[in-house]
Amino acid sequence: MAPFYTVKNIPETLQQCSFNSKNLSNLQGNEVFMTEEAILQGCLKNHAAAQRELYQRYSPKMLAVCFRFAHTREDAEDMLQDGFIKVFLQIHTFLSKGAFEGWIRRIMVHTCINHLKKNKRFNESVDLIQASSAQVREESIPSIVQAKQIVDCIRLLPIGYRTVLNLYAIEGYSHKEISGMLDIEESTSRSQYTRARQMLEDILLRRNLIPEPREKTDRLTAIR
Amino acid sequence: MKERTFFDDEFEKQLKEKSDQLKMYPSDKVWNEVHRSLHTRRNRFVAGMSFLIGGILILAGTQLIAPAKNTQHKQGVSNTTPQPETASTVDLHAFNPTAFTASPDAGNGQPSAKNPSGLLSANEFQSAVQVNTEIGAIPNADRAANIVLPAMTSGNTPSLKLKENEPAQQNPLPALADISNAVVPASEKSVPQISHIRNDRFSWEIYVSPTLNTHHLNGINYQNINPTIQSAPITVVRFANVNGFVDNTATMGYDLGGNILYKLANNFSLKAGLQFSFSRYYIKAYNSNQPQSAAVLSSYFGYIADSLANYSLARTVNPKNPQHYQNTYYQLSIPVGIEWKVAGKGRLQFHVGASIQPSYLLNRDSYVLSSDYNNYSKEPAIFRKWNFHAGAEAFISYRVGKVRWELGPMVRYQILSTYKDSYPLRENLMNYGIRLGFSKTIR
Repeated sequence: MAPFYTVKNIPETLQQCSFNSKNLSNLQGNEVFMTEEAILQGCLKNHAAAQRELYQRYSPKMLAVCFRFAHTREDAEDMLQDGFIKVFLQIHTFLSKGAFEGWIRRIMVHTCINHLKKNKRFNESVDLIQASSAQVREESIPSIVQAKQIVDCIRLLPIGYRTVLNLYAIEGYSHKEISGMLDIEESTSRSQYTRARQMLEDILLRRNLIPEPREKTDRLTAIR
Repeated sequence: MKERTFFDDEFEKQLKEKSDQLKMYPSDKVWNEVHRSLHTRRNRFVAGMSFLIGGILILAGTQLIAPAKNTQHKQGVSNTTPQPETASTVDLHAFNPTAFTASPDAGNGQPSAKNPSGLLSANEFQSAVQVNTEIGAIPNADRAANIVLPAMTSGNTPSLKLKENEPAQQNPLPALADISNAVVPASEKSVPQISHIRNDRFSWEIYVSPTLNTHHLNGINYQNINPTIQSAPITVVRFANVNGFVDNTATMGYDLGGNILYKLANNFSLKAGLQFSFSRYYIKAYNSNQPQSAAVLSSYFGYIADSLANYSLARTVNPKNPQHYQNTYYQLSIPVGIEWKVAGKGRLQFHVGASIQPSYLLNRDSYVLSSDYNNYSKEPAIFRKWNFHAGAEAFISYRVGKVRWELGPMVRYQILSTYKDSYPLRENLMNYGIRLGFSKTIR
């Protein structure tokens, strides 16, 4: 019979972390600042207080991530909920080599993609008219522009474009990784990104969030 | 995230920075749902187990302890003056022995030399009642006809203080007409026996079964579905037998439950109850430092419509950092089945039984194999909550006192896959074990 490990899934690095149970009791009070390590240890032991602390710390950022992928805020909250359940269930697989926030973010992104696939929205076709060739512009976004305005513009993109743009430009996945995640060709990912970016720039221009380009280019219009 | 050079311009950088600045605060509902799904599952499990164990204890308490009290009470009645009862009462212990007349000389109605008054002593009455109760029917109709009850209508219920082994004092006997009216026919004397048999139809049993838990994995054979797809660009689904990619070890679990049995015939019973099952098996995997993308849910060709993306550190290949993971399943089921007594009439009997068990999976945090058979990850969404099990057992039973002990082999098979149909692999759990239990008739 195989040996039985009670803490089998906890990486050694985490097992060696010192855990002060006093710290955990302090988690009940919101005033006390908890180290990431203590939160991790608490979550590994399935302590609700530690889980709550982790949730409060990361949920605002993660909801913004989900919101960029989702159709509505309700969808985004559903994604966030499923994502955090996965985070707590899989927290033992986190190796403390990388950033914890990055690890949570990757889970959220995967959860968002799963949601989109399950809801079949990802398959909504987008026909482009006047799809011009890729033209990379160098306009920068003025600092006065609010994050919410940018995200609102991203959310105006068709779901397929938006997903690729989110994954490539914001989440930092490569086209190869995106093709694997979305089960599409790598070249499709590239072309979708180019078009998504063009469309986004167009939207930003129309809303006067970025300056007019030196040379006018063809604008893209999406028809669902 | 390797080839990020082509579009690394100022626009993308600022787009990322701006997007990351956004913070949104979720409603309280989200945390409540997260908390509930993480903790109420445990609470539900604790509540379920408490209910099961509490029910078993109450049943055991009422059946094992309460009958002893009843017996004591009944014994006490024979030593005290019983209260008068109507003639229709079937409880023999409630009869007033002093009011009985007896005809030792085969119904001639005359007092014998031994018992000149013609009345039964307390001991004689007890003996007579015991004999009749054991036989179940009165062998001699004449004799039975001479055991009479006092006429309650006359209202002169005698109450004498009797001493053991001492003939009763002369007592004003009821009028002859009243006596003839109060004669208990033989058919009525068997009423207590019929009632007794009816109660015997129900019994309860409690059992525990240490089990060895195995499981059977089945990959869908895509070649059989459509031979022409061999050249299709399938990258996420393998054709090979899934069992060649996994290293799983059977291990011990247990079943715990209780049944109520209803006897349809002498050797045939129906049964229904509640059972808790804990089953598990070990998975040998290798820890990978690089998270691998793993499509745990995939359509036949890896089309995106039905696929779920996930990632994991636990891999089936790359023999570095071997780890043992454990898949556990907690199930609550309602076994409904039959039991057949194959042999034996006395203390030792041999039974076989079978049941169908609708079951509910209490936990969904087990590992699932990715559809490329390379990784393990946790994906609660693909587990089937409701399932069906089939159970069979054979056991010998031995009666000790009022309790019948049972021992024998059992097997339990999960009919539907652990996973939903959209998952390309099927897993059917199978438990073998030894069933140890005891049963008792409800009276």
